Amino acid sequence: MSLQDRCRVIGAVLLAGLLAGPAFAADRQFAGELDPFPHEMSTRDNVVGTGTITAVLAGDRLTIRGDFAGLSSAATGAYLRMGLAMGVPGQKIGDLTITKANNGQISGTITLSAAAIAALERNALYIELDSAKAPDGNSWAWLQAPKADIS
Amino acid sequence: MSRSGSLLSKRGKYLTAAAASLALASTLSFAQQAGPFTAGQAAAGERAYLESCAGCHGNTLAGANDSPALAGPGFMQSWGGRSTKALYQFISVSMPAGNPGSLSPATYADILAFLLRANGAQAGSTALNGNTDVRVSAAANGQVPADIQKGLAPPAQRAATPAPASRHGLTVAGTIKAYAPVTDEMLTHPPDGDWLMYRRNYQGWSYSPLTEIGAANVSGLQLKWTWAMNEGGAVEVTPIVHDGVIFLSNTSNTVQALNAKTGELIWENRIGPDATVAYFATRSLALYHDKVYVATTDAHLLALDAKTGKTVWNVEIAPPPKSETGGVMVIRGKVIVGMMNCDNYSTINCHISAYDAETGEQDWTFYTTAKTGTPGGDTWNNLPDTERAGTDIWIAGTYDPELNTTYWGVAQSKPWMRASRRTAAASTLYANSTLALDPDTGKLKWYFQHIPGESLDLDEAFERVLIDHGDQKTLMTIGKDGILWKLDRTSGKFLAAKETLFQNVYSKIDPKTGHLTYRQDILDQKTGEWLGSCPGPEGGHDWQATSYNQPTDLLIIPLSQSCVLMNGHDVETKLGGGGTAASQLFYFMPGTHRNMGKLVAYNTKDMTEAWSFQQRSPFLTAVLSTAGGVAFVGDFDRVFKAVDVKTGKILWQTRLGNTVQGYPVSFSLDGKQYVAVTTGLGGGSPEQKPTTLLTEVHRSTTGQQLYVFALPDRN
Repeated sequence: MSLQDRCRVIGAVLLAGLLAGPAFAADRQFAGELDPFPHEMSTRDNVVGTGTITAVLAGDRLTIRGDFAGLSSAATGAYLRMGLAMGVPGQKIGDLTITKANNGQISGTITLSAAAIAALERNALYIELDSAKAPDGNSWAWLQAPKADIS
Repeated sequence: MSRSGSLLSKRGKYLTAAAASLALASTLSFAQQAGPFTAGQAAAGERAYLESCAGCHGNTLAGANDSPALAGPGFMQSWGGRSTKALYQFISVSMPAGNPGSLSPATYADILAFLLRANGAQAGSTALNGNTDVRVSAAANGQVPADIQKGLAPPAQRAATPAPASRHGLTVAGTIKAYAPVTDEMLTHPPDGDWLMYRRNYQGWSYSPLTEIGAANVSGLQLKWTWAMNEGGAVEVTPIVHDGVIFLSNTSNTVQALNAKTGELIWENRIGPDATVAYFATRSLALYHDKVYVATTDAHLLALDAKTGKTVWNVEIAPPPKSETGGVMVIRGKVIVGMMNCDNYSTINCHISAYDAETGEQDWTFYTTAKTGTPGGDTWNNLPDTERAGTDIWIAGTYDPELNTTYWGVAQSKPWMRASRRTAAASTLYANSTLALDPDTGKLKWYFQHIPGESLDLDEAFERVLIDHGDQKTLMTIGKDGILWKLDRTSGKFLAAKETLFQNVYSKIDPKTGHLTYRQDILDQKTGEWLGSCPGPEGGHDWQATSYNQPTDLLIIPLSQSCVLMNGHDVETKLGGGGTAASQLFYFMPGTHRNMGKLVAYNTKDMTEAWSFQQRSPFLTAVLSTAGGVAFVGDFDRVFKAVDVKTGKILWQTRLGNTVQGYPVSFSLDGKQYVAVTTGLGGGSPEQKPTTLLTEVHRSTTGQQLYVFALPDRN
């Protein structure tokens, strides 16, 4: 799936969430794109792959859904993590379910602490995907609210 | 060679400083065993290192610029815990810089063997290859042998028959027949058709008043001629144009005069020395009276006869490894230049200096590193002057003739991270400052330090653009952190600051004072720990300068959107030690859809954004804008384009031979407008980050070239 296609998917998901507003007035939508984990030239072939993540916050429960494709080795795990700010890696706060393959899905529901909800509000939560070739991080997606395109 | 260790363990814990120290301590006390390489390999690797690596990493392996130390504690901190196989993999895919993967597998193995020896490993009987998988700290202890500490002799001093040197001097003789001396009046009020200095005018606008090429016809631009420049080194140059002649600075300190209409070479002076590293691009020559001035990669300043190219005078500003490549400016008979390559501990601190344009006699010096006992000298946490490194000058300054004040930006202090350089929260003047100097005396009128105690290689070293709004005289500048600053240039008073792209380095920016508050983990940093930085050392904004389009009052800014994790090393506190001293890992800026390039225009009066667009490749040229309403800019993926100044809409683009890199200019001849731009390779973060992140971009290892465009000739 191209970047443009993935942007469209995220947009559609967010729009659907907004249209469904009256039924889920308290729910909040977030989304992110899986980008390569921090790397250098010698490890860049290990951190390839794309994907999209969407998340819905209902009360203190964050439900995460996503897909990924094109990894150079099978996924081994996925986690929700909390940084000090967007782009600053941090500690794990929950485990997610992931397809143990080069392509597949990520899912899970995690109860957030007040601090984690605050971090989500400032775009400081991210999903990390690990793989056999990149066990310390293959990809990550920073969750952002709609219209949070910061560039 | 940039390098890294494991970012996060499987358990998600960071490598702590304590753990790193323990690892280092254990390696230093380790009883040495025979290493996984032979003595013959290490000897061959030393020769290969000198040919392919020493230019950047140095003959003591101390490193410089973006090239880290390859021997001693910093190297062991980075690689001690990793395997020889990982190190081989890293070297073989990313080195030598500018031509990665170009050596044979055996040569990479030899170089790795030499690196192990340079870190105290003993040769054994087993040959090393790319699959040898030994923990580096099991073979090496980080103790650098005496012969390497002393400095490896270059190949020419070792060979029985030294290799013939390149031909230097006036290699093509010729004379410019109609050369009008460049006067002070011309520098103050440049003729419309000329481009006499770095940013075209003293105010640093990069703006041409020419109007023939406009939004309505720019799509008809055609290539008129092209000129192959020297290969090797780094090209980030400004073609200087006067009376139909282009004065072009090439790598290896070669200066050429070309007929601007035909591309014919008139004269050439190959000053030398030849380029050995992909750094230190000579960014601009200067013209004054009957001379052309060039400051060189080996820190010489020369005056050449503008008509013939013959050397008139040649002064050494400082011995190697200093350089003076940020560009030259001339103010009222004084040639002013700034020093670079001050990364390592030295008895010579970085400075700006002025010379008599006629004779080359030194006039004044202003030290950009505040020394002990001088104003600001108490801002370095009591470090001795020899350990006050950095504060380089990346580009030439700007000048206000009415105020008789010249403005210069200063780079960060070194090593990059305060934990490495041991300055705690000290501000380290005049790092990351704007300096206002009296050009007659070199005396400081005022300074404004944008980022006190900067700590992530986020320089504020770039163009200072002088813009007036009525009686208000302002100075605008933008650095790697992407913050656009506006100062009162009569006093240095802070007026405004604006974030032009996402940043996560500061938790607060005081809108009244411009005071920045660092994120807490940056304040608490220790060596051996990874810190995230958005933007990273690519910028934000880097040496690719802005253009001030006066008719629209827009400042058009090239930006890059990448981030790094940075890990500061411990350094040796000895002359030649220090350096940049950090490892980096690269990543796309979150929320940018992997678009590294961003072009944005700001209304300078109220600092509001007028337009912007993003693209995959970052921009590797400065912006040139014209009175015709067009702005030109080139990118990493070889595209040179023209956009509408008012909207940012792309009006024309073409693909060139390699990365479009340098400072585009516009000039006229016989009433016809031309646009000139260079392609080039080499440089630091603006080349390294996209080379790693943009996996789909493939470039040739050659292709440094000057291109000249114009509209079709009228019949």
